[in-house]
Amino acid sequence: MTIHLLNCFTCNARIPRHWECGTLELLIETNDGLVLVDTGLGTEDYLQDSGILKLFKVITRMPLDPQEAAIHQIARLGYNPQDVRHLVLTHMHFDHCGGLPDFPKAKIHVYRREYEAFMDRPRQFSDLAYVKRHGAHGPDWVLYADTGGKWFDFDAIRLPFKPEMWLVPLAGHTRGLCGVAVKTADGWLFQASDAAALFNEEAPGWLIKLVLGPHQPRIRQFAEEHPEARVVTGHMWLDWFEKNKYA
Amino acid sequence: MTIHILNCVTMNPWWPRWHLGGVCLLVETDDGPVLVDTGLGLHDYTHPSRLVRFYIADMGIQMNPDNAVVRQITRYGWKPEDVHHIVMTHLHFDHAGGLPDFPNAKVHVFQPEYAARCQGRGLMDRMAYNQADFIHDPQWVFHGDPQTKWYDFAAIRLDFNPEMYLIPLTGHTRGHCGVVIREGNRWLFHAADALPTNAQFDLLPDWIFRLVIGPHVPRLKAFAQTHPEVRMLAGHMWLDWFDKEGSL
Repeated sequence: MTIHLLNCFTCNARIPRHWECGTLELLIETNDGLVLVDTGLGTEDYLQDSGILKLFKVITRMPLDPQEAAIHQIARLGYNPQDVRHLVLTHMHFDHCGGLPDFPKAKIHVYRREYEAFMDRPRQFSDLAYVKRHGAHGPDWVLYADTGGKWFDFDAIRLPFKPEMWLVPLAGHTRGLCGVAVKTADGWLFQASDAAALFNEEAPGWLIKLVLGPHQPRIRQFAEEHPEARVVTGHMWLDWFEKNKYA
Repeated sequence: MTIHILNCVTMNPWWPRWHLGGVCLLVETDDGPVLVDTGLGLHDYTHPSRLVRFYIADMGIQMNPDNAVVRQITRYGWKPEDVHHIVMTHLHFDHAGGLPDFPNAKVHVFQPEYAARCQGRGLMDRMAYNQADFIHDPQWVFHGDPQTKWYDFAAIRLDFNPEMYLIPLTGHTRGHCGVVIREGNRWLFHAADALPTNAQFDLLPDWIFRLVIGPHVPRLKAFAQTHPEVRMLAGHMWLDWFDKEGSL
């Protein structure tokens, strides 16, 4: 069983200039084909900018290289993209689910509150980063409601895959953001997605709370108390991707 | 084990000039009472949304809060907090209106139906899902792909005693289901809005059926004729039918 760590969308800040980030996607070999956790931008996004991407062209520096799309990276790793049978989404912002139309036959596993927020009209600032087009091809949704399950101390929902995987609701950044925990050979890989910025030591606490929601302190404490769980986040430094290809 | 068939929304449309009651089942299981659909709720009578006001005028809905299922179950000695489970055939306003009256109940629904009500893209969706029915944020229990069979129908087993199944019959909505309940060696098949009014197949021409209630009418008709041990029930029955047949 292998977990590939992919950067499917490079997005660097203009200010401060040294914040150079990629968007982290996990490609997991499971008992039921390949599972992709988040997708980055899709091939369609490079052909036709969404409004939010136009805005990000102004406030960030992006190479916008179509070869970064998950479907191309998976092919370069030697897999057949058709074998991606399941997509698990941490949340449905444009930079995490733009690749959905590239995998029209895959089942899309998502927390029901996130699906609801995506389908709803915009009610809060963070809803403006949803792009309706990403879910408009009539995919096969698999929605999850709370079940009362627990992963460590977190409320969690078991996903139907082997290795063991959990959806961990961490609302704040969006109304239904979830982390994803995956069992590895020597512990856990916990993708906290945009609920935490553990690796950014410079961002002030109030900014993290404003943009990413209230869970950062709890996740940082969890990471310190549980060395067997390797915590990663939705956006990682570019040089981190150079050093970490597998988990 | 008793099944009570209640009328939880009375409609008197202008044309055809029918007098209809909307079916709600109160099933007394080992787990306590389980409701199948909920009709209109108290909030529809006290603060009807624009959508419900439209149907009150158009469908001649009778504004009688004593019709709400939360009041009717007291007749059988149950309190609202005794209801731990509600099974939904679909989430249209005339079936889901009573959900807020049972804020602590688990709401069982076929997952595509929940997706359809969130998406709400088509005109029919926007005209019939009342978002006010869900603002109390119920505890949803989603049921996915059918794993078993009931007769020839793909079915989802519900974990109650007596045996109950959800039978996906999509068409009227994208996740519409029927509900089957065992009664001894017979069955009650509540096909809800996949069946014509009063489970009568000769009321209207076939093309209207296909348009409004989906593609399952011929199949259900054949099934009803060959399986006399199965009692067929539609989502809307004649008003006087409830007086005659209401309790099993």
